[in-house]
Amino acid sequence: MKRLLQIEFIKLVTYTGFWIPAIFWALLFVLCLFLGTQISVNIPGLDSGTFFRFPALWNTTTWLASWFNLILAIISMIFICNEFSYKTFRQHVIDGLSRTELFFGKVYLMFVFAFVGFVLVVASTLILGIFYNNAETWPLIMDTIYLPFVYFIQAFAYMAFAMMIALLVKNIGLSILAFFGYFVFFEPIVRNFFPENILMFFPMKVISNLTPAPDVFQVSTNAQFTTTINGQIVDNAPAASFEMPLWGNSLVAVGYIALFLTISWYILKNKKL
Amino acid sequence: MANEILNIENVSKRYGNIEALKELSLSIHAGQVFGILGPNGSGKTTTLSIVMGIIHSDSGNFSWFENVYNNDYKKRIGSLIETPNFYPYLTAQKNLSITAKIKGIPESDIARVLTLTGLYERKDYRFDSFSLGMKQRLALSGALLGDPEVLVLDEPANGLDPQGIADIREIIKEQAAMGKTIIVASHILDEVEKVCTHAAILKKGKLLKCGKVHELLSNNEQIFLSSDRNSDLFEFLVRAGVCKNVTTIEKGILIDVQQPFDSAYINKLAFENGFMLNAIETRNQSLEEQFLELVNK
Repeated sequence: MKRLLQIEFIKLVTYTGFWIPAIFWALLFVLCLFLGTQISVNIPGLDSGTFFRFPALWNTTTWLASWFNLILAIISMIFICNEFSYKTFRQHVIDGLSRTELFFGKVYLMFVFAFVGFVLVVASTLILGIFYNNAETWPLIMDTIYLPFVYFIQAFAYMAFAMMIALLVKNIGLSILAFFGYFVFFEPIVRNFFPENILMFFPMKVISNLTPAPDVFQVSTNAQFTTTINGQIVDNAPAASFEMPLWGNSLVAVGYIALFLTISWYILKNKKL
Repeated sequence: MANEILNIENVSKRYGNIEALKELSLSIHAGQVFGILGPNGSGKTTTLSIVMGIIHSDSGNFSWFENVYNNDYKKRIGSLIETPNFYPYLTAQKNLSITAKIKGIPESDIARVLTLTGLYERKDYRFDSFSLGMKQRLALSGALLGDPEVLVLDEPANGLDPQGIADIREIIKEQAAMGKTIIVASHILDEVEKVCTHAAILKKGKLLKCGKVHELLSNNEQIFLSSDRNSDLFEFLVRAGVCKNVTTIEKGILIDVQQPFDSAYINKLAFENGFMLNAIETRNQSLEEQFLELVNK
């Protein structure tokens, strides 16, 4: 494992094609978080500081970070497609890596990317936490501590999907097109033809649901809703019945990761390099 | 018999309608410099790609070092197939670091191979700044990394200038003198003739001929004759019945002699019959001519 990662690192340390999107990704995330702190929400009973107080803070950071997972997916695709365009997968096999090792080299690399994302999310959460929390809200940090781990699964899942596409298509431009085409158009359109209890199992749906938007918003609208229709008892529960619980969603996502990786491995095993 | 390095048995490969290899069998032994010859598209690269594991054959088997297929054998083989494949944005040094890591060779060996191929001064230049010949030299450096016992070289002289070709030939000869087994595929016959001990000739994926180079060569001794009356001489030689084959070429006549007769005999015979020869010489038919003859059949 160490050897495969060392090989991958030699490839990326002096590669501007990696550092530019990587820095772009980290900067955009930090910038968006910063902008987020500057927005003041003018809804009575809701102050924007709520987003940055535990337990909601974990929601805010992971949800924001999830926007930029696509950049991680693109970086992964760049690395895989490069191996085809430089014919270096071929050279690696000639030099003595097995096809399984080629596969694991990339999987480890994606693991590292997801881990860096995880670290960035945790670090920015803790730093923001210092500014917005008090003795009362700090203990709530543990309430949603599972969220950065779920974010890790999400980032990895996007990259596993990206890997599968890159191995199928081999060409970087077409891969990115295929990825976005599927993510933005194909699945959302096809999904609409299915009933709710099936469409929630579609891969992109499952994966993007891993980092729900901060629910302070939902809570407050519900609260307002019940107060406006005064006197009436409003039953809120059934509305959310088609949503999977987060742990269930995570399990399905892990299942998808396994599926994407298996397909990737199978392609790599049999493809002419 | 020396140790068998590579054994190929009935390997076939199709690309769509084209049969790239038809039941090819070869056996290569330790210490041989083995040339694989053939025109473009005869299956040379396909053969080497299959034994290096980058494409799967449709049928047939191959084994390295008298062993079953397993990936460790590659550490004992240095290989250059078709084109130099490196990361364009990495320096020569870094590119070879990757190769060294894959093969489990200490980085210190990189300087040695770069010196051997004359690239040492350019080790910190990016690969994409290299000319075709330098890229080829770097690929050769990669193949020599770790001092492997077997070299597999596909068109090693590709893109090189005359000096580069001579250098490569020198390197191959040096490596062969050290007892290495070398497998070279090429369509440049001169190259093979000068360095190889054994050769196999392929055409459209079929093995036409295989053996020691000097045996492939020596079978055909030809004699070139010329006199002031070439057309009479030609008729005489045809009637004399000492030659298998008589052909008129630009400046004289080329004959394939039948076995017991040699050039001295032919000279005497011609003189006795009133032909003054102004030139007589024996010629070894070059590999190239034989090759063209075989391939064009």
